Amino acid sequence: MLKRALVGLLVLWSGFSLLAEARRAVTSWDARAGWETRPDDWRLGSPPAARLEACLAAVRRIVPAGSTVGLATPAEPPESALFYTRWAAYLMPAEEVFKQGEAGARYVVSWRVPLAAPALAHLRPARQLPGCFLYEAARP
Amino acid sequence: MSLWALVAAAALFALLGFLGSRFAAVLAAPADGTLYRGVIYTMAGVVGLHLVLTVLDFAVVRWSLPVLGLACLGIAALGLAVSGRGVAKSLHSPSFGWGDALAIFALAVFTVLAVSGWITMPDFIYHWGLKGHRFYIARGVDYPFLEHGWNWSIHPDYPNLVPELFAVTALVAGSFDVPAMLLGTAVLFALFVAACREGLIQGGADRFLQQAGTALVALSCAAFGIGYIMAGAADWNLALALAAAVPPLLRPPDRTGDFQIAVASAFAAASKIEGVPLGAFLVLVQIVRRLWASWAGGRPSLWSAVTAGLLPAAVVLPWLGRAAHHHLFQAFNSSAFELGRAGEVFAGVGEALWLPAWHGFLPVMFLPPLLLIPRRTRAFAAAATLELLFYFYVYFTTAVGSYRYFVLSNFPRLGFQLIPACLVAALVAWGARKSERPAGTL
Repeated sequence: MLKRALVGLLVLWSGFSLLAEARRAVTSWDARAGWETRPDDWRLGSPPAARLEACLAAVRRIVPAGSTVGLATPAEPPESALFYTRWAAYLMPAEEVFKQGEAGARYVVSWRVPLAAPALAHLRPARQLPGCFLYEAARP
Repeated sequence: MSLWALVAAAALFALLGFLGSRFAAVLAAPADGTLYRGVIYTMAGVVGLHLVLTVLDFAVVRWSLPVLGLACLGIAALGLAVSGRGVAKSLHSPSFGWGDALAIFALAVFTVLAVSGWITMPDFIYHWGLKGHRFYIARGVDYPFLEHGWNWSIHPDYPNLVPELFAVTALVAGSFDVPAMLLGTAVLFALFVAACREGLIQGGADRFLQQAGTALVALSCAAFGIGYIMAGAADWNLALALAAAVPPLLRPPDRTGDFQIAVASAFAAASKIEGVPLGAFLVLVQIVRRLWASWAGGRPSLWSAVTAGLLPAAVVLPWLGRAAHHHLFQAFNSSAFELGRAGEVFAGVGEALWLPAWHGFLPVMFLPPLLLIPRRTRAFAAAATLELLFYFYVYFTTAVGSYRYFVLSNFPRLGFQLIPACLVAALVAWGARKSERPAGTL
């Protein structure tokens, strides 16, 4: 009898746990318009991810599939760069996306702010896009 | 969200289950219930798909629906060849109870939230989903993409079953639809709950414990899956593999058990890097049990080693070969064993144990050493204990900046791989009838 009661209590506890987590998830989903967080805490459908998606959707329309694209985040803390890059790679699966400077890129996307020297060396501005700036490598 | 894509994702798993069922003659034991048979058949179908995709990659044939359709026909024909033995009739009939209702409720809540995309795991963005989309575009495993030096952070050396499933789902659906990919997680969840339910039945748990255990696994794992945002994660595969191995490990070793362990082991090894040792441990434990039993009977045989080990080997060897050939293994994955990290590692573990999303259930992952004591759960506990030790081995040999952060970032998920099966084994050890051989086993 004691065993049954203990297992029953565990089931009750896990049920309450599920309800609490579901409630939290639904509440945050309802408030997702205000989900302004660091990129390691972005979620699909959250505003920062949607803004990056809008920028990269415009980039995808301009750069040919398979292009090498470097992502620069000069206005963000350096430790965030990896997360921005991973999101950008996910949102541009047909292109080769990496952090600017990791390899030679045909195109560079600068998130939120334009690039300044010396990052501008060998690049020429191509287009201002929603929330970002697109550069193309100057041909040698 | 596309309704067609969701239907396509569900249909793919149903088709894989059907393909697996062609091998029912060797995969179904009389002790196995209908739901568990469905679990094993689906896992066998998934492993079969993985092997087909691997062969296509070696043959440099692009993945396409006609090619995969032909391969499915080939698998079905192969199934016909082994079906001569006839399928063992199930000795227990399914009966629905209150715990099953709670489990379905938990599944439904998780599925709705998963398909919304809001509880998608970051690793789906960072690598699993990205790889799946790349493989879909490339119509094959995109080795040139994995080889790029800048892709070191996406675990290019990991086995590819998870992104392969995403890519094939996209092939069937006609596009890479994220909710359809995430529905796959809900399917895996349903499968491992069904496997846990079977573990309780075959372990000899009474009706109350069967229902309570099923509900407990489903509710606690759904809570964790939602709270820790786990949709699209690969850890569900390993949780399923270990849970599916529980019934054959709880009953006395038999030939069907060899095949079931082979499927669970191959499934684990194809899914994630820590699935490779898990697969090896499951096979090792089954071989030792079989040898022990055959020696005791005076007829030692190595046949079980071949049966249990061949399928996982067919998964692991090509993966090792391709990863080595394309230089995908990362140097930071292995360094010298440094005991000096113990303070940082255990501080991280201590912190992780009380993670709010687990609601106090994470310490359950440390039960396997205790479960070595009861004879009934010893085989399962041996495999799970070895896997637990492997997690810590990795912590002491992987070169990273902060070990506390490293542990915190993955320990709760590693626990998730063990906890459903550990809960079942613990309930069997603690609450089941004392008979060492549950009714209906061979």
